[in-house]
Amino acid sequence: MPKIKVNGREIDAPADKVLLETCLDHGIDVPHYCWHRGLSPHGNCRMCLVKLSTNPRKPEIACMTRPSEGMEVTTEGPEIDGHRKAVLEYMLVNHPLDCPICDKAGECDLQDFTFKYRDGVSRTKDPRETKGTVDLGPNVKIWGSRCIACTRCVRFCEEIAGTSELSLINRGNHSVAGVHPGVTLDNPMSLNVVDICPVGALIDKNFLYQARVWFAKKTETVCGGCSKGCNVTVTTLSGHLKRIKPRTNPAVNQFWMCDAGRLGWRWVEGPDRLKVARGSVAEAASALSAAFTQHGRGAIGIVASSAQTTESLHLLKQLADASGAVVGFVGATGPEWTSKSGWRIEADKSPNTAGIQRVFGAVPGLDAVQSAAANGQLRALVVVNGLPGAPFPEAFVTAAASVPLRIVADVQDSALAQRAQVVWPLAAWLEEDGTWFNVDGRVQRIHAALPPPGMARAATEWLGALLLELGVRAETSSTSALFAEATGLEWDRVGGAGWAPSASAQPGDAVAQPGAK
Amino acid sequence: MSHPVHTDFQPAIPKTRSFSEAVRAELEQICARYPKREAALLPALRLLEREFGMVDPPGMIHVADLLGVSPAKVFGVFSFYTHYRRPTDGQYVFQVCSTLSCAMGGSEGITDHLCHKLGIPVGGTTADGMFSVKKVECLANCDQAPTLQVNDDFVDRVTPADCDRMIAEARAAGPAFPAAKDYHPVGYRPPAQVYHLPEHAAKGKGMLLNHALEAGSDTLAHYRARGGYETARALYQSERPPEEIIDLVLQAGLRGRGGAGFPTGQKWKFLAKNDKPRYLVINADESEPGTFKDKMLIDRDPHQLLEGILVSAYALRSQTSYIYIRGEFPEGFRTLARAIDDAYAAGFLGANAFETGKRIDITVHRGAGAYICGEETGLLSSLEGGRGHPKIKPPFPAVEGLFRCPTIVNNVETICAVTHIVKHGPQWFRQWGTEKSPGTKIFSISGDVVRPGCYEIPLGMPLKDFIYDVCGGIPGGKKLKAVIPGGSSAPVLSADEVLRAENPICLDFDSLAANGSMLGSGAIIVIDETRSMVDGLWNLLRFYAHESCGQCTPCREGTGWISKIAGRFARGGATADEVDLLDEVAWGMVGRTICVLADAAALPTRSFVKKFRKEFEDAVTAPPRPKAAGHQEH
Repeated sequence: MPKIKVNGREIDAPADKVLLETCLDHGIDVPHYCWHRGLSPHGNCRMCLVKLSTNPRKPEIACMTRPSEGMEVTTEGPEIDGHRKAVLEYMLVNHPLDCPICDKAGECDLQDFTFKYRDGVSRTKDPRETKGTVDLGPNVKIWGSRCIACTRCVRFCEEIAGTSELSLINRGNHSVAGVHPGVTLDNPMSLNVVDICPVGALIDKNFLYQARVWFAKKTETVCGGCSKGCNVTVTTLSGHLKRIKPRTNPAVNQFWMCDAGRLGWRWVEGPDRLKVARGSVAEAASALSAAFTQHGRGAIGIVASSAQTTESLHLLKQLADASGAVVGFVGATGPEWTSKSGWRIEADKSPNTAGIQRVFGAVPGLDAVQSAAANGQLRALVVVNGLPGAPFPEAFVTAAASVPLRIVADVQDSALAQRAQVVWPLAAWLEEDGTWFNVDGRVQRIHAALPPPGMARAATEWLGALLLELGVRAETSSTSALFAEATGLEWDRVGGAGWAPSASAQPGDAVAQPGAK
Repeated sequence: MSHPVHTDFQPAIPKTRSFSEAVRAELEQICARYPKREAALLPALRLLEREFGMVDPPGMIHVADLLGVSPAKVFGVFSFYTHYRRPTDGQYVFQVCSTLSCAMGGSEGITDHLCHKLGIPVGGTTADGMFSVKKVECLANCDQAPTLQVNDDFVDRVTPADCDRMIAEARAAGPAFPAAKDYHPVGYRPPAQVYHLPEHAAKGKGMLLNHALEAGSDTLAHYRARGGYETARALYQSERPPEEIIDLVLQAGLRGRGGAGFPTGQKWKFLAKNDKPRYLVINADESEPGTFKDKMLIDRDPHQLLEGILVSAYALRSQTSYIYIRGEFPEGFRTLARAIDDAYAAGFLGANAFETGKRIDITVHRGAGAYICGEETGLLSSLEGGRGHPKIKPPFPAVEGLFRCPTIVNNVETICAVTHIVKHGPQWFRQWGTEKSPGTKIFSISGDVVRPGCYEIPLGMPLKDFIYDVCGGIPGGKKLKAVIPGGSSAPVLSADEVLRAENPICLDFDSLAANGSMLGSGAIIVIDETRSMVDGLWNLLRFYAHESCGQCTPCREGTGWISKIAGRFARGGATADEVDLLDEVAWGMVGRTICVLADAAALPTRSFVKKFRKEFEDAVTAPPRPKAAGHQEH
């Protein structure tokens, strides 16, 4: 592996990585726009110019330079600052001073580099070129005058999505990202272009003018839209949801997430949320006890959804074991899609089916519970859902109506909830802590980004209290304790990037680092 | 900006476009000339033009479908180039060349006259859809300034009366007027008619233009009658090692005639040795302002070029050659296509060249209006079916070029010289020129000179002798002010420098380089005492701003910025501190870009400001052309 020196410091530089990536990996800051870890390099912004011992006459771009043995690189100092100052000055010639009305403000590379490398003085006197504000598709709009023609968005659509809806159009200082007339930017992961746009040219229409990011709170969690488990960051402002963006995780979603997951949060603050409880934990426990005492094992039915956390599933398992309950699960499915680069959107539109497998050893459907309900075997039914959009089939709702005691914990109102004696409003996945196992068996933590509304609580709270009341558990426990009980794994192993234990992993096994095969 | 800018497309266009079976078959034949289908994109857009009179969204979607590329890619390519017919174009498009030599010849008056007569602004089209007026950049016809191109045809030394006559004819005839592709306006010079040439070339004292005045010189019969293709035949039928031919070219000291002046033999030696196909690409994009010599070689002696390709391809072990010709030379394209067809028919090209079993194919590929496609990697990007974006170097084309294979890109004039070197030997070639700049060069001279035109002369002649003794000096006995010696990208020389008796500046690579300029393409623009250097610089900077491909930050924004500063010096509104600012902003682009278009704009700018500083300083209070009411903003 070539050994190079960067600013006098000797480092190992893999031959298959460009200089820029190696510098960044070693914490050496080299400002850049057009290069991105997930895309092929292009070399057009010229921001990453550095000095190389191999070419003393002029600077070279670090993003397309491969290291050679003994190469000496300078990324700091007055000469390099001069290049950065100059490149920025050119970039600011026509870029509009839109910061006060631009969504990107506060997370904008152009702002950040200008603040760091320039002195705030403009030498231009001429009117600026304008390039049109254009709707590119259902979700994305471009403020063309802000576009710096870096082509990240073009390369994303070509190399990752594979749908190639974008190109640079026109020439010279009218170059701008655009679509063919009438052929819109509309693919299942289109909004990633907004994330990777270094400036505020590409804008998410759903987030337009919704929040100034420096007032917002950011919560790291995992998307509950499917079993892929993309790592995300949720932006809230004053306790309200504003935006979900992907968080980098090479082992799960790389740098991306899909549009459906990204936009799938409006229901959380929608009008259908259950906010008022009907029936207390004590009342429910008493009724359940009575049913068990009178009718014995098999008289209770338990239904949960694959949106439930591992911890909540564990509590349900304890209840099921204690009562010999008939158990069934409900999920959600939808279209799957694989991008050109192999990035996949799963058909299982729930986040913790693998968690059910892990805790219960199997994932039975609703049939057993439904027929036990219909033929009068069940005296009590406990439903803990969490999936929005009424996932229960008509037949199940009808059969459930004949069970004498119905306890329903859910996020949204439904026919099932309306006919239940006990209704406990649930926190949505964005409002609770816990863990999920994704389709690859990787366990990842979720964190509440906002508090649940009204009387809604996390399922672990309702169930913890219920099991305490029933005497199934001696005490309520923390999420981490429940996780350890449920999986036999160590909570501390599950960091911000999750953990992929092998099927036979034991507590104390080595941590699988992100990116490890 | 006078070049069309696309943000919204207009409605009232058909919903679908579909080529006939015959045209689809034609497209397939075109695709077969390239290793990747995508490379047929520029020719496919020309087919849309031909079949439907324009390139429009339904046409682009159809082509995208046929070639297996995305509509966005097609639109990105189409919108990059200026020369494709748009839905908004009239039946007759008046393209007024507006770059320096034609501006000096009165092109602005022609533009104003046309716009006034037709009642439309620059870039506009008459309501009846008959006429459009566009300002275009250098059409490589500078000795015939001002030049007008009406659709495909050149009109030399156009006058307002010529314009009125053309418009009146078209209007009077109405629908009966010949269809646009059959129409040849007043002043049109059909290819058979000879060019104005000076005595040097007519007497055969050079190498390349010896026969350019002769009727029929563009035909195969004429070429063969003077020994044409015999050098190639002998070579292909021999077992000579190709390296021997490379050595001949190296010994002859031939240097690139397109602008860079790089030793040709040395460039050929850089060609990577691996299993990939090797490409020889001929740069016929001739767009450097002031240059019009390759057009002459193509129009008047196309077979000389083809034989040069045959010989060079042998030396390079290449079986595939492309000639990239700028879009504004449709006549040149047709001439080359005819010549190539004849050469195939005669058995000189194809799978069995000269019946030796050796293969050599030549394909002509038309550009579509972009100076940056004269930059070798911009050319390759365009040839591959893309926007004319220069590529990051390294890797260099000789290692990884066209379709990522080893590629040599050479200028038309350079390749034409190769046959003569191989036929007569390096020492014969060295009878002309200097030690380090051997041979002859075709110089294009225009501007304030009595006898503008193409001249093939030995390298090394003092510049002042060339201007005054050979080309007749300056009309009206005016005094010289400045000379651009090698195309607009060459730093300007002041009269004092040019007229210097001691150690005069000579027309060879090294003398000009030693004097802070360059031989470049050999395009000489003579500027007399009545001209404003401020106005001249603004004209050239508008050119570079229009032609910047837009990829990289310093050039994309810098060329536009210095053009605007120069505009305020020319028309009023500049401040005294901006004289140095102009210099700084120009210099700030250099060394920080993907290609040297930035340098081509910056270094001349610095030379104008340095050598004519007083004119810029004076322009702050007395601009040479204050804003005139009603005059179209550029």
